[in-house]
Amino acid sequence: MALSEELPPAQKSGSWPRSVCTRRCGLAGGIALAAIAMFFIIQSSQLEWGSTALPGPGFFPMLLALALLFCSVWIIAQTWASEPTGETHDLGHRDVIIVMVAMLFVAPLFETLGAYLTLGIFAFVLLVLIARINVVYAALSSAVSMVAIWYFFQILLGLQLPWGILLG
Amino acid sequence: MTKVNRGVILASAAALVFATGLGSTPSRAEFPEQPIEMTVMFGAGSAADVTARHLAEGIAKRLNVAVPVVNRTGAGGAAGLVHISQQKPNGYSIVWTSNQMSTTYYSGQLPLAYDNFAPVARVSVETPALAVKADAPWKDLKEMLEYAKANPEKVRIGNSGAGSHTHLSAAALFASVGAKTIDVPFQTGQATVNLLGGRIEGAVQLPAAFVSHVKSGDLRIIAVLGRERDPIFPDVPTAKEQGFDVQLDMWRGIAAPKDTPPEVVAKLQKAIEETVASPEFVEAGKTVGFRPAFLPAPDFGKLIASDDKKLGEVMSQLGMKKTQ
Amino acid sequence: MSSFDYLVNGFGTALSWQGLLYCFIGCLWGTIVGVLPGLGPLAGMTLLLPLTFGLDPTTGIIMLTGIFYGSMYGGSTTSILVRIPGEAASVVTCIDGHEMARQGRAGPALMVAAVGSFIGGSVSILGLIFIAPPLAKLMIQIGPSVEVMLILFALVVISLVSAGSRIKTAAMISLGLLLGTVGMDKLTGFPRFTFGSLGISDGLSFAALAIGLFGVSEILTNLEKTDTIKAITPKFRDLIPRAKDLRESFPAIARGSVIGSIFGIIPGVSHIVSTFVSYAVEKKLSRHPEQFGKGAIAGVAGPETANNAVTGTAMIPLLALGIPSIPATAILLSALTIHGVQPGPLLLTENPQVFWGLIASMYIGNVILLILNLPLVSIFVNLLRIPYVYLVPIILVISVVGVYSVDFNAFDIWVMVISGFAGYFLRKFGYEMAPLLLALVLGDRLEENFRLSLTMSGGHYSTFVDNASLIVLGGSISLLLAVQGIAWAFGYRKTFADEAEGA
Repeated sequence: MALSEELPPAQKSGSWPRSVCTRRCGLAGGIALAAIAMFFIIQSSQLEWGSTALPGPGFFPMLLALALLFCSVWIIAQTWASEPTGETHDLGHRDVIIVMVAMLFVAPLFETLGAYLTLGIFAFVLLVLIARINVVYAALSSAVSMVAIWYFFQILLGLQLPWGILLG
Repeated sequence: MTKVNRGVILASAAALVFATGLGSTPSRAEFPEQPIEMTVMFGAGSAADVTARHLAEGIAKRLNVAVPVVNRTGAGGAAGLVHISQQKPNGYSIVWTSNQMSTTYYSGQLPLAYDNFAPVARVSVETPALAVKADAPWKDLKEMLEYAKANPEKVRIGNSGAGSHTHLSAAALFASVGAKTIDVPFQTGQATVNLLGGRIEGAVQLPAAFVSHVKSGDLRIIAVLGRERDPIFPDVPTAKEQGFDVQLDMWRGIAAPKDTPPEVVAKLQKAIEETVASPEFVEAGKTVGFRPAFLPAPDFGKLIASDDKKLGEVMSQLGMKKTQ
Repeated sequence: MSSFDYLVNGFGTALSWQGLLYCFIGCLWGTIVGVLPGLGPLAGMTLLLPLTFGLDPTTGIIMLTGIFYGSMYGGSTTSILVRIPGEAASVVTCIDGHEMARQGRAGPALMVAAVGSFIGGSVSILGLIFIAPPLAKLMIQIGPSVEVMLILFALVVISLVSAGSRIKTAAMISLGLLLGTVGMDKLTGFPRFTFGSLGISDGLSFAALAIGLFGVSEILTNLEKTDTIKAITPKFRDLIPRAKDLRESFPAIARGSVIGSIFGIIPGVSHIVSTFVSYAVEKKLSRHPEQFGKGAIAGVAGPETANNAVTGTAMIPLLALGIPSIPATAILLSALTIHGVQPGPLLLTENPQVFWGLIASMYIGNVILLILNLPLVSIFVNLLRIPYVYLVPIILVISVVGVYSVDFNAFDIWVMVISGFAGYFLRKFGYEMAPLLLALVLGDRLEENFRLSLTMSGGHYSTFVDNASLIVLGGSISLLLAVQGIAWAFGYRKTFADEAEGA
C-alpha cells in the first residue's frame, strides 16, 4: 500500500515527465514490496502465532509476509545483477500528477463536504486542468453531471450518498 | 451514461414508485417528517435482515414515511452501532440490534457499552437450537453431554462465528457440565452443511438454519436453549426441561442514539408495537423462524442490562472477554 | 405429475404476463447494476428486495434471480470499454476485452460476451434441471479441507498462465494473499492490521481494489498519452464478430459453460474463480497463447461464459439444501423465506411450482437478456466516441460513487485511490494485476478453511489427504497435466503451422 510514496522526488527544474532507467525502477519496485513485507512481518509478530497444529491469527500473515520478503529480495538481487539496458520509464507526467493529487482529496472530503460537492469540484478541476475547457462550461457541466448522479443513484437506485455540508 | 439509459431509467422509476408506494405528505413539525433510516447490523439476506425489512415495512406504513434499510455489518455489526452513536438523536436514525450489542462490546470490537444507546423496543426472540444428525447415537441432551464429558475434545460443535450468540450458547451449555468440546466457527450456512456431511458432531444455530433438514429427516434437534420451547419445534424440550439450566434467548430490537427525546421514542415504540402485533408480522415469524415478542422501552432497557451482565460472565469464563 | 409436466407448468408461470414483466424488470435492473462499477448483484438484489414483498413468491424470486444473472451480462461492459470491472466476476474480462476495444473491436468483444453469457446460462440451467440432486449430494462432501485443495489448485493454475516473470507473479500472489488477511480474523474474531479502524474490519473491499488496480491505473497510464488516443468511431461492420472470431470463441464458450457449471456448486467466490480458471484454460489450450493479453477473443468469451454458467448451478445448493453458496444466493434465500417458501430438500415436493417456475424463467430471462444486450452493444460502443479527456472525470466520478455505495464506507475510496496509484507503478514495472486479485479473493478463504480443517481434525494434517480431498486433488492434478500435455501437443502444431505460414 505504501507504493504511492514511490513518486519521484519533486524537482524544481528539468523537464517533466522525467525519464528514469528501468533498472532503478525495478529496484524501487522491489524495495517497496520489501517494505510492505517488513511492515506486515513486524505487525504480525505482535499477533498470536498459535501452533502448527492450531495456527493462530498471526500464523498466516507472518508466513505470507516472509514469502513476499523472499520474492522481493530475489527481485532486488535479480535487478541489481542485471546490466542497465538503457530503457527508461517516463514518470511524473503533468496530467497524471494532477489526477493523483485531485484523487487524494476525494476520500477525506467525501463525507464532510458531501458526495455531490466533492465530486462536483473534482470533476470541475479535471475538466479545467486535463480537458482544458472553459471555466464556465466546466462549472456548468460538472453541476449538470452532479444532478445526473443524484437523480440516478439517489432517486432511481435509492442509494443514500452523504450530503455533507449541503444539507446542514 | 444518462443518455444511454433513459429508457432504462423510466422503467426502473416506475418499478421504484411501485415499490415504495408512499405518496402521502406528513404534516410539518411533527415527528416523523422525513425518512427514518434503519441501520441493520446483519448482512443482507440473513434471517435477521429479513425480519428487519418486515419491521421497516410495518413502521413505514404506520408512520407514513419511508423507512429505508441500510446494512452496516462491519466488525460483527459493531460498525452499524458506531454509525448510529454518531447520528443526531432525533429519531431519524435507528438501529436493528441484538444481544450482539453486548458480545461485540466484550470482545473488543465495539468501543461503546450498551448504555450508549437508547432502547426503543424489543421486537422478537429466537432460540438457539442444538442439532445432530438423525442417526447420531444420542437420544437426548443428557446422553450427549455425558458422552462429551467422558470424551474430551471429541465432540465438535459448529457455530456461526467466534463470539457469536450461537457460539456462546453452545459453549455455556457444554461448560455447564464441565465437558470440553471443539467449537468450530463457520460462515453463514456452512455449519449445517458440515453437520450434514458428518464433519462435525453437532451444531448450534438459530432454528431457521435447521427447519427444512429436520422436516426431511436428515437432522434431529436435541434441545433448544431458550426460556421456553420454540413453536417451530414444539416437541423439542428446552435444555432447562432436560435438567440443564442454560437459557440464552437471542433477542432483537430497535435502539436509537443516546438522548433521543422520549416523545419520539414513544412514537416509534407505538408503531413497532402495532407492527409486531399485526397478523402479517406474526405470519412472517413462522416462516423466518422468530417469535414476535414486543417489549416497551423501559423493560427492554432492563433486559439489555441483565443480558449484558450474563453474557459478560459467559465470555469471561471462556476467556473471550477483552473489555472490562 | 412428472418432472416434465412440472416444467411445462413452470413455463406457463414464467410466460404469464406477470412472470414476463418481472423477469424483464429483473434482467434490466441486473444489467444496470452489472454495468455500474462497484455495484453488483448483491446491491441490486438488496435494493429491489422490498418490491418482492407485494408479489407472489414465484414472481418475486423470478425477478430477483433475473437481477443475479442479468448483472453477469452487464458486468463485462465497462470491463471491455474502459477497463473498469463492472462487477467482480468481470475482472478477467478487462485483460483482453479492453485490449480489443483499443483495437477498435469493442463491438465483437461485447457481442461475444453476450452470446457466451447466453450459452453459459442456458447450459447451466440444464445442469440445474437434470443433475441438481446428485450435485447437491456432492456439495455436502465439499468440506473445508477439500476447499483448501481447490484453492491451491486455482492459485497454481493462475501462476502457470501468468504473462509476467515467475518471481514477480509469485510476489503478487503473496501480496494478494497477505492483503486478504487484513481485517477481522474469521476464526477468533481478532482484528488484524486494522489499527482500530472499523472501516477495514471486514477486510479490504474487493470492488475497490479491483477498480483501483485495473481501472484507475489504466486511466493514469492513458493520461500520459492522451494526445495520441483517438476517439474511436466504430463503423457498423466493426460491430459484428468475424468468422475467425466465432471460430476462436465457440470452443472457449463450450469450455466456459462446463467450467462455470462445475464451479457453481463450490461455496464462496466461485463466480470469480471460474472466470480465472476459464481464462487460464483458454490460454493454455490456445494455439496462440502469446495473443492473450493483447486482445484474444477467447479470453473474453471463456470467462464471460463461465461467470454466467455459475448462476444456474449456484442455485443448486440454495434450492436443494437451503444453503447459499455465494452472497447473491443468500438474498434469494431471504426472498424465498419471506414468502414462506423454505428452500431445502423438501422444496421439490412442497413447492414444485416455485422450483420449476424459476427454472423456466431463467431460460426465458437469458433470452430476454440476449435480446436486450445485443442492441445495447452499438450504444455502448458509441460511448467511445467521447474524447478520452472528457471520459476521465466521468469514469472516476462513477467509480467513486460505485465503490462507496457497496458498503457506504469512505475508507473504500481510499483503498481505490491508493491501489490505483500502486497499480499504475506496478504495471509500469512489469507486475501482473490478475494474480494479485485472485489471491486476494481466495486469501481469506484459504486461511479460514485451512484453519477450520485443522480445528476439526484436532490439528492433524492428515485431514488434507482424506478420501474426498485426495480425489479432488488427484483429479485436479491430472487435469492440469492433461491441459499441459494438450498445450504441449498444440505447441508443436503451432510451430509447424507458423512455419507453414512463413510467419
